[in-house]
Amino acid sequence: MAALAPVAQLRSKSRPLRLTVITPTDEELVNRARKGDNGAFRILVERHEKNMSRTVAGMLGASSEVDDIVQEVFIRFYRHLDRFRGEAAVGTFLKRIAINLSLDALRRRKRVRSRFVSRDNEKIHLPEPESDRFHEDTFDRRRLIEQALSSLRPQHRAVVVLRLIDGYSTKEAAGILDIPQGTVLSRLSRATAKLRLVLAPILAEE
Amino acid sequence: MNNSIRAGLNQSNDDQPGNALGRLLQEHAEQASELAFQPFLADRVMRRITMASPPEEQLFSLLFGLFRPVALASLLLILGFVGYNTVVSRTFDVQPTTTEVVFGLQPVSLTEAFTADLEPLLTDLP
Repeated sequence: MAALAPVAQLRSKSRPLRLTVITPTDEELVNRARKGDNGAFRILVERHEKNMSRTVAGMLGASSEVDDIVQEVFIRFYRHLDRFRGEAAVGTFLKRIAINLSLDALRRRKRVRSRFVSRDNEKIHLPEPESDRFHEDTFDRRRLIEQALSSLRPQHRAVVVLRLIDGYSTKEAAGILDIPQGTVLSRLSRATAKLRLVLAPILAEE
Repeated sequence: MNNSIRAGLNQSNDDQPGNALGRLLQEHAEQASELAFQPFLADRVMRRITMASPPEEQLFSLLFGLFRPVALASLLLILGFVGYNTVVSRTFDVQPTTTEVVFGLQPVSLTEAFTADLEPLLTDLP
């Protein structure tokens, strides 16, 4: 028992063990990734993937393109790591890439549709591509929201996504889209008026 | 900040993420993201990054990157030549056409063409 006494004293005197986890900032991770640390870049991907997927899904709806675009966002960022000067936050920089790629995808989608529709004499309504995993009871509601969003011009949709879904301020949204604040406000005003009109039945329920 | 922006900011107070429309859109985007987004994105991204790109893709990106500086330098060179040709064309006896000026062509009249002066060439011969 006497032999154990020093250990007991040591335990009682010692402070409780505190495990401090130092989380590296985005800028530190970018610097490490520039030096070839792929693990650091992976942490950046994991940190921002959910945020980016929400933005891209807001722009494109629940389509299979979302996953490809989000992948492309990070690959573009990796290829242009040297161009990232740290003037904007990593999240904002990624958001800019995500919005630009989504706008490209919407233009591509429109081009493909117009190519096929122009061959037919009568106008055909083509809904947004949707995942078949939608649950039946909420299908109509989601389809209505999807249709309301797809009725907006791509540039207006980008403003709605940044301001109302991502919660950026008018100034931040203007910076990401590289347009004046007044343009953001006018686009938001027009887009929300249109959305409120189409989504009136759902908004009345809430 | 000008008046129109300030007025717009006041008007847009109800277009905030926290209102009914904002909440509805946020909820929709979250659900759409869950449905469309596949798991293990980081793995797929890292695999694509570490995978060596094929040589043709490397060549394409090299040419793509070179195009703009080369095109710009060529344009400046062409403009330089056009400027030089314009200055030189002022010394001609015969008034050259615009095409001749731009391309630096020597204006040759029909008479000059038929009375070619070969003397300077002949004197150079051994």
